[in-house]
Amino acid sequence: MKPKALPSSRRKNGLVKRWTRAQLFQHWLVLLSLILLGLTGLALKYHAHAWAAWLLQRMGGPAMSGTLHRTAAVVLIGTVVFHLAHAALTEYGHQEFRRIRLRAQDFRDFLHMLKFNLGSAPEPPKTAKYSYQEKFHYWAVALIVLLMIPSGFVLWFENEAMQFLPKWIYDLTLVLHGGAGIFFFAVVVLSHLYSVHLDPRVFPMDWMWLTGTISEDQLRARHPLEFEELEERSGS
Amino acid sequence: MNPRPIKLALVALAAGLAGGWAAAGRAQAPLQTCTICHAKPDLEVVDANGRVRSLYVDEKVLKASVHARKSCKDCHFDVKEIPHRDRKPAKVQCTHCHYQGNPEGAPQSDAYLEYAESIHGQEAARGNPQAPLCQDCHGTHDIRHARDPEARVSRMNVAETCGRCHLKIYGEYAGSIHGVALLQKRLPDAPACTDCHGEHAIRKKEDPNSKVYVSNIAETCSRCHGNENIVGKYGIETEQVATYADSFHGIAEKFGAKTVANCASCHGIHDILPADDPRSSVALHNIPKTCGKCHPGANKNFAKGKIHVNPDKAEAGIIFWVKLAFTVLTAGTMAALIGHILLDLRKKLKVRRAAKNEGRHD
Repeated sequence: MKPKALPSSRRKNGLVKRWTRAQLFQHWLVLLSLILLGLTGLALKYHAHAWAAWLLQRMGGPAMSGTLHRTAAVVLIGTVVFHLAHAALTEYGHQEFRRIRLRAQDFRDFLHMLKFNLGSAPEPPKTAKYSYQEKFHYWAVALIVLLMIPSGFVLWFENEAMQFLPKWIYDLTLVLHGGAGIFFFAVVVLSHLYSVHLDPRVFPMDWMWLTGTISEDQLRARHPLEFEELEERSGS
Repeated sequence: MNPRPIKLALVALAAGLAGGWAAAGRAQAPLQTCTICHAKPDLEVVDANGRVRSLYVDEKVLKASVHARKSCKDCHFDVKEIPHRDRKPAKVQCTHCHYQGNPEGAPQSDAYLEYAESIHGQEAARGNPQAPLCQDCHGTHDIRHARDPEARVSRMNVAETCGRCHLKIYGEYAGSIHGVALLQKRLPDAPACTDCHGEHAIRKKEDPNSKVYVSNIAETCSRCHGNENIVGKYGIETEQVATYADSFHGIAEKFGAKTVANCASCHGIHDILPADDPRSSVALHNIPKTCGKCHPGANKNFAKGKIHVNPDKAEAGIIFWVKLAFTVLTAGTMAALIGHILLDLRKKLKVRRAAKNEGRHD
C-alpha cells in the first residue's frame, strides 16, 4: 500500500502541515529529556575536568544529578512508548513509520548526493518526506536509545542486576552506556545542528519543530517528491 | 696542668656535700651534683599511687640523647636547692625551649602548637590523665632525633611507642601487610602509624581535618599508593588510585559523599592484607561479604571481574576492546560527518551564489 499524502486541508496560505501536534509533542519531550540526559551524563563522564565538575556541582552533585538523569530517562522511555504506540495504533503514525523506513533508495540517494556535492551529478537526489539524512538520523537515535535503555537499567538497578550478571558485564555495560552516549552527543547532535540550523537553506533555524509547518517553496526545494505528491492530490 | 680548677671543684664539692649549695644554685648545676643521688641505680620512691618509681638516671643515656649538652637544671629549672628532698620537681615543660623562635638552640618548630590542637593535646588540656605528653612518645632522658634508629619515634620504633597505649590496634597493625613490611621486613617505605595519622597533629577520625577522616582517606592512601617511586619498587600498581577516582565510589567521594566506599571500606584499616592472603577482606572468596556491607545481596558475581578495572588497558579484555571500538567508531563517524557537511555546505553556497549571479544577469 502506497502511503497516503497529507490531505489537501493541510495546505493553507502557502504553508504545508508536516508534523501533527502528537509529533511536535514527542519532539519536545525528546529535546528536553536528551538535554538533561546529556548534561548530567557528560558532567559525570568528564567529572575530572573543571567544567564538568562545576556543572556537576550546579546540578546538585553526583547524587542529585543522577536523580535528574534517571528522571529524564523515564521521560524518554515514556516518549519511546508513546512513539511506538502512535506508530502501531494510528493510521497516520503507521504511514509515517512506513515513510521513515530505510530502503535501498536511501543509500543510492546518499551516493547520488555525494556525487552531486562533488560536482559529478547535475542534480541532487529527489527527496520524499524524509530525506536519507533524516532517516539515518532517526535510525541512529533509535539504535542508540535501544542500547541506552537496557544498559541504563543495569546501571540504575545495579544490585538487582548483579544478582545474575558478573561484575565484568556491569563494567562492560558502563563502557557501552558511556560510549554510546558520547557517540550520540558527538555525531547525532552535530548532524542535527547542521541539518536544522547551519544548512544555508534553513539558517538560522528550521522553524518546523515549533509550527509543524513548512512553506511550499521550502517543500519544493527540499522535499520535491513530497511536493509533487501534494500537487497531485490537490489537483485531483 | 693547672691545678686551680681541680681545687675549685673540690671546694665546690665540699660545699655541695655540706648542703650549702643554695646560694650558688642559680648558676649552672653540674651534672655531678645531681648524680650524687640520681646515679644510684637503686634510688626509688613510692609515688602517690603506691607504685615504686625509679629515680635513677643513667648519665650515659642522657649523654647519648639530643640533650647531651644540657644540664639537669636546664629542664628541671624548678629545682632551687639540692638536695630537693621532699619537694618533688614538677613535670618538665618541653615548651620552655621547644617553640618557634626560641633562643635556646632547640629546633625551630611549631610542633607544640600542632600537638595542642591534636586529640592528644586536647585530651591532656581537659585533664585526661591517660593523654600523652611529649615525654610519653619521645622519652625523657633518652630523647633522640626521629632520624636516629634508636629513637622511640624512629620509623621502626614509633608503632611500638604508639602501641604502648593503643595495644589492640598495634596488634592488628603488626599482622597487616603494612606492619609486616615495616616491623619484620624492615622496609623503610612501609607506613608506620604516623604516616597515615600524622605526628603531632593526630586528630580523631571524626574530625574533618584528620588525615583519616572519611573524606581524606583516599588522599592519604594515595600519597604512597599513587606514587610510582614508593610502591612501584614493590610491584604494587598505582592505577588503583586513578581507577577509584574514576569509579562511582570515587566520584561520589570527591563531591562530598560521606557514606560511599573509600579505600578502607573494602581493604580494612589497621588490618589491611593483600588480596592473595585468604584472610584479606578483598580475597576473592571474601568479596561478596565485603561488598555486601553496602550492597544488599552481593554474591559471587561481585568477584567475577577485576574491581579496579582500567578500561584503557588491554588487560581489561572485552571492556577495553568495546571502549576502543566506540572511540574509533565515534572518531571515524565524526570525520565522515564533518566531511559530508563541508561538502554539502560548499555545494549549497555555490548553488546559492550561482542563483544570485543569474538573478543579477536577468
